[in-house]
Amino acid sequence: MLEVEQLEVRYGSLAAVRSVSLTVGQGEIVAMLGANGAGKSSTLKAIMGLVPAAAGRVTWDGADITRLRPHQRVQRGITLCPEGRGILTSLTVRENLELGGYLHARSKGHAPLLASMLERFPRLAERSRQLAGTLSGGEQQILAVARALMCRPRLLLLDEPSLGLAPMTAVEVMKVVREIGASGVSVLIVEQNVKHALRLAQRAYVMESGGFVLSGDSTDLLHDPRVQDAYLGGSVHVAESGVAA
Amino acid sequence: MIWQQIFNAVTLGANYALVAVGYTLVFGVLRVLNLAHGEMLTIGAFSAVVVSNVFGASLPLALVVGATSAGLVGALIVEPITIRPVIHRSQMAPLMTTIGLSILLISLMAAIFGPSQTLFPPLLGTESFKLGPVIVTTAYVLNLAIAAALFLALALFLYRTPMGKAIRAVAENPEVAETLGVNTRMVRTLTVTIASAMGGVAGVLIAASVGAVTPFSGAVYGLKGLVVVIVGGMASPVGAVVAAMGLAAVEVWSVSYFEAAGRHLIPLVLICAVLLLRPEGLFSTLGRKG
Repeated sequence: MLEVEQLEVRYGSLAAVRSVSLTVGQGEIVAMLGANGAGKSSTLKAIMGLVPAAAGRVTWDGADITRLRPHQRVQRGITLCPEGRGILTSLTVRENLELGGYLHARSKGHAPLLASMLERFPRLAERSRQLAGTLSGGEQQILAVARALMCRPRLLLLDEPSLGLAPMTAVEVMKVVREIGASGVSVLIVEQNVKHALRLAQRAYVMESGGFVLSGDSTDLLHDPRVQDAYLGGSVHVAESGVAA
Repeated sequence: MIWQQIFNAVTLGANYALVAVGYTLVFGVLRVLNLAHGEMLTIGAFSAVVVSNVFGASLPLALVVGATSAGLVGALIVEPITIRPVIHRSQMAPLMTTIGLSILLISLMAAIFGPSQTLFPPLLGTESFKLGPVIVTTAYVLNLAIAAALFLALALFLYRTPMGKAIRAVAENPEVAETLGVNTRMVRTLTVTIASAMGGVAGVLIAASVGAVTPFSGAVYGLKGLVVVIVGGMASPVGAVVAAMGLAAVEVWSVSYFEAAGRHLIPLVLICAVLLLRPEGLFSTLGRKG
């Protein structure tokens, strides 16, 4: 289980994330919603360790991991699919997948996991020897998710997985994310498509100017008029209504 | 005559490529120009002189010791002391620190071995034989064979092993590599270590061909290597090999048609021409994202 307490992220004098607290339980899918620049990506990066926490604590499985470096967090079962997918374009599709299993490369389960991933995503199998840069956007997103699964995560951080994808492809990606949650992996997802996100997640947090302004069960949030406001950008209303996370 | 020149150029080019690949590896992965790389050659060569004096002249021993000593300096001094603390500060900082280290190492070696030539044992043999129209010396053959073997080993390492793939991943996107479990700091140290060790081997081969080494030899060949990577494209190993062959061909050709002094002038003319016409290098395809 992931617990974030009073997290703060600063870029120089600018506070991108201010006293954010959240939890993600085992096998739970939790969404973070909010406008661009609200601090969602920074929160994910801080949980991954890619940006330092200026204040606060990140706890995973009861252990404080706030000061660990990213690869050490990967060893403990956390990984991130970055915004823009982070495909290594100079490596082949297969090499991208292999790199996902980098920490397990010498373990027995590595080859079967790679095989099962290629079986599960046949389009990746067809293109496994191609340079990953030649894939379409949707294929790259599937590759990014498959590669993250090769790390054998117990917590998957997903940053805008449907960004720039055709609606059909986005639905497909969401389906994969749902399956991942169902398999017992915890998922913390940042998603600009609020309807997608709330249908997928059990719970959600709404973020604005670096802090959470709303949180709750997805079904409640889906019918909450303030969520509509928040994601349409009329967020002043939400802030003034004083609903705390 | 032409075959002889081609053969000579290929052999000389193999040495230049061996020097140059040290720059491209480090630049490709760390985006840092390691200006102390030339001194890895000198360290390798002097270490080989020392062990040859103690244990007798043996090529395998000299190569192993040359690679190990330069590799250790790379692993323990170059990366952790002169690069790691300043890598995120500015583009300029690692240039300054590695130049500083280069001067320090040159002075140190001058203090220990003296500023003039130290004789280097003829580890590569002195025989020569005729192969068709070409006069071949054992030195040339060994030079070529060792350089080719090292390139092959490096390519296999980078493209076939998990660690090699991790190095390539860090070269393209360190942040993504890190989220997949790659210890990027360790990869950086390892890259500099491999580059330095290859420099050490190059130093032994060059000193054995020339028959002597001075504390300043590394700087001369380091400059050649630098010319090669600028012409070939900073992060392109293939470009480095092609440019090394090209530079060697130009040198061999200019020595036989002009005076020997042209040898050092022509490469600089070449580099100016490339910088004017194609500043990113002939083979550069890189432009790192983000």
